Amino acid sequence: MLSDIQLVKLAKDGHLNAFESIITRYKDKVFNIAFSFTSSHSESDDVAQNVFLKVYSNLNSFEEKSAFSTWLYRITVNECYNVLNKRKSNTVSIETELAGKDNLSLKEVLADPKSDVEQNFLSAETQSIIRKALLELPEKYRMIVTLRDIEDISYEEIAQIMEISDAKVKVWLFRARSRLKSIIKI
Amino acid sequence: MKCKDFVLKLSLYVDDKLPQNERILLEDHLKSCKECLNEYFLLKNLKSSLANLPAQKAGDNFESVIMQKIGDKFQETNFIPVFFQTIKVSLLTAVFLLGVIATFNFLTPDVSAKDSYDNIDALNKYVLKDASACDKIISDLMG
Repeated sequence: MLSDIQLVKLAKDGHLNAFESIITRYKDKVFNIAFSFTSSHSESDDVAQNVFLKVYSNLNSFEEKSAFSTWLYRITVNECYNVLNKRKSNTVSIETELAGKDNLSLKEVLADPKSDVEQNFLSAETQSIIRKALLELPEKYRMIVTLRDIEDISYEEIAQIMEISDAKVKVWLFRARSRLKSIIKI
Repeated sequence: MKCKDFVLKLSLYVDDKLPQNERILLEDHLKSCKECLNEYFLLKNLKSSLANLPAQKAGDNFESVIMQKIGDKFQETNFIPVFFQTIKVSLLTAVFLLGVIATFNFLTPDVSAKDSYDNIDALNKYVLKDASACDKIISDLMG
């Protein structure tokens, strides 16, 4: 299997098949980041499409100083912020697909030392509560929790993607998780 | 250290980013402090819950949608370069032809009317001054 850099080089040389392979490799990751940030399928689809169109348009400006994924995720983060800015400027509020669901406490589940969430399937209700709580976080905290806890991206890569220091990654993560706990009321 | 200080380190601890000496201190504290241990479980399970959210996927035909858009965009933007390329080639050809003509004019001797008169005058003088030479030339030519 070709590496990211090999595919990028081929795509730069005009091989559209190579670019299609890049899309196949990363489309779900990009879409999932966007969905964690927007909780909207249609907006996530817009974000993902814009990301890959921008990647294609700017492929020649990618100088391979960082990993391709880091560059791709940075574009994704910026597109997510753009979508939210558009949403804010829209006079008619766009309701997310989670709006209207009951706000339930997860305290019993999460505070249980015997509870091993990793082994358990999250109920639709629990998923809804968590996603709704994510939406209440400030944008930068929502993004950092998405990248770290949902996408399992390293501190170092997050620092590059969000263009912040390593120290700030630690502080923002602590604050984001603390806020998330208080939103879920645990 | 107080409980508050340990709680601050829990976020790094669940990510396995705490230096070893601090990790040992924290683990010792967790063995004896029920409140901090509870905080640890909350954080650990919250993190696990986030990690276990079902991944949302892009549509099956996502690639073809993007490739179609790239194709459309490429064709639109390609028209302009082709147009300008044609103009550029035409201009370069015109400049080249002008250059050839100018060079040709520069290298060709400029025989003005005055020079022609001067040459005829010189020939007349030559013939009149040395008619015998002229006769010799004519006889040579006649064989």
